Amino acid sequence: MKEQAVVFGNERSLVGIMSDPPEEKLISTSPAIIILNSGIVHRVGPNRIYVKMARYLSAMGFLVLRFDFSSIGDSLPRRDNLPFVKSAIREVREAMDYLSQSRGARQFVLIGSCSGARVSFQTACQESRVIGAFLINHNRAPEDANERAGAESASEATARYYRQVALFNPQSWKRIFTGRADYRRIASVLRATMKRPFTEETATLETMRFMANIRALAERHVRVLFVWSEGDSGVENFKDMGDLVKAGAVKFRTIPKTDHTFSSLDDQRRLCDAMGEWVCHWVSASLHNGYARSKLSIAVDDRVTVTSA
Amino acid sequence: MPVCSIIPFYFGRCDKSLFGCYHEPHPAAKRASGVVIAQPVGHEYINSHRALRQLAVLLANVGFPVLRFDYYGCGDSMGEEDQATVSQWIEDTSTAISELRKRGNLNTVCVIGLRLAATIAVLAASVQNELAALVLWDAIIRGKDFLNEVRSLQNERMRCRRKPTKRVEASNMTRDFLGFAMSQSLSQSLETLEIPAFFRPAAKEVLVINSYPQKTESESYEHAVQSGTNTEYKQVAAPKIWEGTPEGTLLVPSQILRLVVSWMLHKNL
Repeated sequence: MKEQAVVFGNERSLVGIMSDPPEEKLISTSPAIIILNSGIVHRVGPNRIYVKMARYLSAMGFLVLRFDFSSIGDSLPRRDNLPFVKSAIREVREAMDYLSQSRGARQFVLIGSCSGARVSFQTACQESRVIGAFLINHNRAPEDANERAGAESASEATARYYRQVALFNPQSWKRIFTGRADYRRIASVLRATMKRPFTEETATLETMRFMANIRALAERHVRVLFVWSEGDSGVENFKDMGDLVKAGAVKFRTIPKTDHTFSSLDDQRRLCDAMGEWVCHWVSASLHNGYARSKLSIAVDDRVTVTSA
Repeated sequence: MPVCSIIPFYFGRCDKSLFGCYHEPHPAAKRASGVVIAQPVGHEYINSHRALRQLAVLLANVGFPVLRFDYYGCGDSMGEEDQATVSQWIEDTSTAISELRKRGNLNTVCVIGLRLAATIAVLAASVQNELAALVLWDAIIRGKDFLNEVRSLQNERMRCRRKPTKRVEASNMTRDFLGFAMSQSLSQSLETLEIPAFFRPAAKEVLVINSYPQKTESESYEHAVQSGTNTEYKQVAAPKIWEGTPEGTLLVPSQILRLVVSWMLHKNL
């Protein structure tokens, strides 16, 4: 495969890395894949996982672009005053335009983690060229709650760990009674947990809008997979989606024993496997239609070649 | 000035290409020396990316051509993490210095390194033609200390989460270091890596910055002063940006960035 540094966008201010699949594996009819920033971590992703994902997908035969939104990573700030919720969607569209012009891509799959998942989802709702979205730890929190979400997600994850694991673990109790527990941390998590019922709004309107969007995507036959790490708070926001799951409009998958940023190598391997399994749909569709140029087995010894922009 | 004054590109050997960002200098103030910024490795690379990019922009604004690059197996550069070696990173630093000389048509180059990159820069400087300046920002004096720090963070991270049923490493020869694969050979090289006492980095000017009180502080100072080069030591109170924060924010220590820029201007580089 080949990796190339690219600068694109209406202002030529967005920086990204494009991964072209090996010529013999290119699936000409498959969608191009765009990977979106997770929070303010630049395009390599948390723990460099976006690099691994892009290389994995490219080895399967997909064209992949991972880029930085304005003011993140190496991309320049915008000259207008568009809020992030609008500028991000506009910039994903500019990325699609760029891939259409430079590589002839017509359909797209978006992948993002955390805020990247939120932008992927919102773009998919507004953009007909998007035919799939792989949403990692999507949190339905409205944008104005972003500040809170980052700071509290750590204590929420710890609270869930206490509730689901430590409470039933004799070793944890032993640590408490022998003075070896982190009492300050436990107290801080308890404080945050007790405060939450008073600060957390159920946001009914937000929920209804979200459900309507999911239904609209289902009508357009957009494939959507929500993937969560086991301890992520986003899972709890989706408990009321039973009817959509039954209808097959949306799929959910929880990867057990992982954390929010898939921070161990084992977490990352399982996330990549889940992604590979999900994107196989387009590989098999191409094979079925006889469009694939060659067999699609992923060679483990694929090496990357790089070209200058 | 073009709209985009940052040029992202790949350079070096085709089988081991490195990713770099060339920051064009302000045309009205172009200076004689260029600056290579070597970024740290592993989780520290992710956490300090924003600050080092900001440093590159500030230096370019006062006229320095700047090349900020990723080591092999790190960031956007080719290679997987477990393919990285210390000797490869030393070679990468030399490759980046040559690339900047060529691209900016420059005779003199300075190198700025943060954490392990500072240690690597010292080693690389000894094989390069004399550098105009070397900035060692919280350099790791002993690789062993770095490994211990990472191990302790790894244990802390794994303490409050469910453990995988079966501990899976990338291979028998690889360890999980905060989500980055580290080969056994790299780990062994780091165990023995050390900036030797009385080191004499091949640079005309050296700035040693320590941003937090550490046990090696006096040692680092001793190293710097006894090296015999024109060395300055600065202690600046600033957060450990490479560790990240629980909220996932990326810190930019403006006091250190300003110090580096003003020092380089003062030295008339």
